[in-house]
Amino acid sequence: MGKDRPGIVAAVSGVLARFHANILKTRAATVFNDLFAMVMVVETRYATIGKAELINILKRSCDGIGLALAAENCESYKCGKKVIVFDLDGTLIDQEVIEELAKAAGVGDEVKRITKLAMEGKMNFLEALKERVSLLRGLPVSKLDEIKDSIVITPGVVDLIRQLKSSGFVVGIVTGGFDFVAEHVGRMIGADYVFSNRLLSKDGVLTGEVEGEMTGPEAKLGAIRKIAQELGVGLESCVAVGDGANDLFMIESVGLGVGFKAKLVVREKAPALINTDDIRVLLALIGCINLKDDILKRI
Amino acid sequence: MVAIAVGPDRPGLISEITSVIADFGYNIEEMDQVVMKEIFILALLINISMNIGALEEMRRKLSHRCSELGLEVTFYYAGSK
Repeated sequence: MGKDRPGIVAAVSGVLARFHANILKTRAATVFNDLFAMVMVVETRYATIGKAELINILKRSCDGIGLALAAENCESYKCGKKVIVFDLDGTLIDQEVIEELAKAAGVGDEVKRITKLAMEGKMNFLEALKERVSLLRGLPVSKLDEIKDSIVITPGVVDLIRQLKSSGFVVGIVTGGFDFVAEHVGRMIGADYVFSNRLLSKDGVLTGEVEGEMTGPEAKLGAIRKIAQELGVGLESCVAVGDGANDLFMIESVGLGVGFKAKLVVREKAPALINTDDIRVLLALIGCINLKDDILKRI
Repeated sequence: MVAIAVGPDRPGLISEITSVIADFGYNIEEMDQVVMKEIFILALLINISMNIGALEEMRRKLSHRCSELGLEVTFYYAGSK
């Protein structure tokens, strides 16, 4: 998927040809006047390199020319997607909430440094969370409301969720961040599930401790499993969207894992990459755009 | 313009054909491709309006490339050959 222009088919098929991957089927069209959408069924059996390596090279090539790409197994592609979960900070909202809290507590720089290490996968997520929360000790709880009110939802997200829900998707937020923001954003966008952590407080100030079900390294994946189980679907019917290292478990385990404006460690491993704000690209990648509407407009 | 190419399948055909079109700056607006019993079938809707002057040369290059690849290619304009 990408902004329409000459050379897209040539660029993508060129990469596949270089490694002798055979294209069995293609359907491609310009949609909404300015987006080019292409689906290829590719046989990698006789390719000169392995499938994972081919996908990586393809991903890098597409990223380099501004195309979003999703590589899925045929079985996973065939099965309808029912559940979509989003990371919160950096994905649904522009801020990293813990950094806003840190600023209010006067420990901004120190927390920012730890967040960066954790998001890039250079530091254990739980350790980083505990360390940062401990720096917030003594922050008045009243500050949380101020921060909650300053939260800005990523442009297009409200629209995106509305379209996903009207297509029958169950929408979840899974975050290692905090309930006071996650629940608030969940209400604003109409999420069906919210999984987050809780900052503990005593006598009107934060104690510097955190508790909740989203503290482990596989917590986000566990949350998706819970949603899937409740709905009676498998992980292959789930889509996970995130940007940081703590999103990798879920991104690599569900039917379609999407790195959205992702950090390097996620870009290398996510089977789908999107680097644009254009929400139609995500809708199209997960097969949720109603192409019929677009075709009807043209005839 | 619609271009239809048919012939024995092998890896690299789409890349070879579409790179000729891209070299001329023409845009592919729609594309359908399938392999049936190892026969490659490709249909392209190409927007030629941005560079009508180079059309004959592109057609010549594309025909030449297709014959090298063992494919038959046919061009159609608004309903006629």
